Amino acid sequence: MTKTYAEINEKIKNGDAVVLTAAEMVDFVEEKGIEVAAEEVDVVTTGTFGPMCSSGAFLNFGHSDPPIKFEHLWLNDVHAYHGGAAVDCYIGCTRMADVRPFEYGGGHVIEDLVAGKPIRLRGNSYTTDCYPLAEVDTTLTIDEINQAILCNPRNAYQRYVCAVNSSNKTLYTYMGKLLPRYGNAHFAGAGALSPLSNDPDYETIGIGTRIFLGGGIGYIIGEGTQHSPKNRFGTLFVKGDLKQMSEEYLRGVTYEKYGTSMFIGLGIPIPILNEGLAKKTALSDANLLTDVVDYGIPRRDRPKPRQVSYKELKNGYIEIKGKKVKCSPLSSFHHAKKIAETMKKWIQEGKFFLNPPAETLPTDTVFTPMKQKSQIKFVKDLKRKAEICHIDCEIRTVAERIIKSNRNHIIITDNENVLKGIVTSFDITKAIAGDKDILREIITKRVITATDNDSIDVAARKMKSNEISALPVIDDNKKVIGIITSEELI
Amino acid sequence: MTDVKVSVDYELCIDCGSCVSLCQEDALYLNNEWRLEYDEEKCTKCGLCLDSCPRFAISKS
Repeated sequence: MTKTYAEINEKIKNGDAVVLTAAEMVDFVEEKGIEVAAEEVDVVTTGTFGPMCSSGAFLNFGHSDPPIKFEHLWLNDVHAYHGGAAVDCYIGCTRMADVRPFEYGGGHVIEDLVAGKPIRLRGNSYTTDCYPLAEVDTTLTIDEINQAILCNPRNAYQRYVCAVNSSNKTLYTYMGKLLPRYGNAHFAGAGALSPLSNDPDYETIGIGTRIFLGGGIGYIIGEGTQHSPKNRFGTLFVKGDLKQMSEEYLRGVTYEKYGTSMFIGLGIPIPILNEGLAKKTALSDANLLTDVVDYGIPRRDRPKPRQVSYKELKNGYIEIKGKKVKCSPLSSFHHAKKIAETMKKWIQEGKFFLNPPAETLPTDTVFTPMKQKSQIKFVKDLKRKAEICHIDCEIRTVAERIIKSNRNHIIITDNENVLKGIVTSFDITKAIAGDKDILREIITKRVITATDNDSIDVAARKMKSNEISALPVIDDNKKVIGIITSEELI
Repeated sequence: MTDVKVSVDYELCIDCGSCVSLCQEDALYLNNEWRLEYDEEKCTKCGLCLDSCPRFAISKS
């Protein structure tokens, strides 16, 4: 049993098309089987609503009088990119406002613009004979600009990972707040409702496919950046007219201590042209697997403790290394479902028709890592011998060691060489001034440490964020194996 | 934290659920429709959810 786009569109026109959301399709196929589904169902709708950091918009403001060619411009204090023609710009959602960073960013500008709020435009220019104006400071709404085009080079990830944190400190990431020692897990992607998961071989999804984007109509204009179909991490490059969209499906967001981004609502209709597509759109959350990734290891290739299905993830707990870990999504299933249902309604009401792609997406490309000229350096390459004193020794002994070694940091250990604390020459001076003579009372016991396999950049970030200048290097048993200080990093 | 009240602004909330995994007491949870709900009785006011909301919908009052 096969159908054509023309046959399906004819049914839509006549109000006879059978349209199901991807969630409904799972139940339909379970009840009636693939063959019946392929014959009876015409379209399956999908949806996703999650943070998509690549999002942004091209805007054209029209010409000022006298004309200006922007060199720099800001929208509500968010720097927009200007490398094109005089009064065009691209506002990216992760760019943060100069005055309220970590609160307001490019995604919030786009949300406010779509909501009809006035946006302040400030810009300057080095001036030319044809563009003599040096500065502009005005406010405008979406109705007062020419084009406002949402244009996102990488959206709608086929699936995304589930993030956990094995380290001993809370991490603030684009996957949200990750509590230490596998304290929680965050995952993204809409599972069985995810657009690309329903057509994983891109039979019907390609350049020119008409889609739901931000509450309006959008189009796929190519493969997304980092498109990696071989391991089922396909992505889409999409565009759409912001003037038709709704702020309900375009939301500026901020991830604590990470930065700003934007939630985008995106849905794709899948025409059920054959049994293969009926089968693919009937995959349930239990069939869709993703990797659990340990963000506690700050490297490109992070450890992946296990694979997990979206069914398990949606249950709210997963097991990692014997521990029951609470998990929650980052993207909204409620809105993903609403998007799939809205598209279903549009099609049933004859407002939305399906079209074959002008070109299909590549299925064999791979996402390659960055070529770097310099070799990554690790703590083990640059650490030096630590000056160590025993926890029970006298303060005077530590003072003598500081003088003898000409070092500022002395590591304090027990009989087994296990780290007990750290003491600096300033601590010793303070102890003498304060008439203290017990070493245990003056050492810093909560010590920030490094391991051999930390990269130098990670060690530098630990020193910077804790305002310290040295890290004892320890092994898995907390035994001291060296020290790294800011001197080695310079 | 014990004397403060946590409140959720549902106008700002987008039901993403990112606060839910931080709440070990299940005071913040997603209901059958995947909408966020807050059960004040279960809340121990640990404060982990504050500042974690991407929409600043969770605040103390």
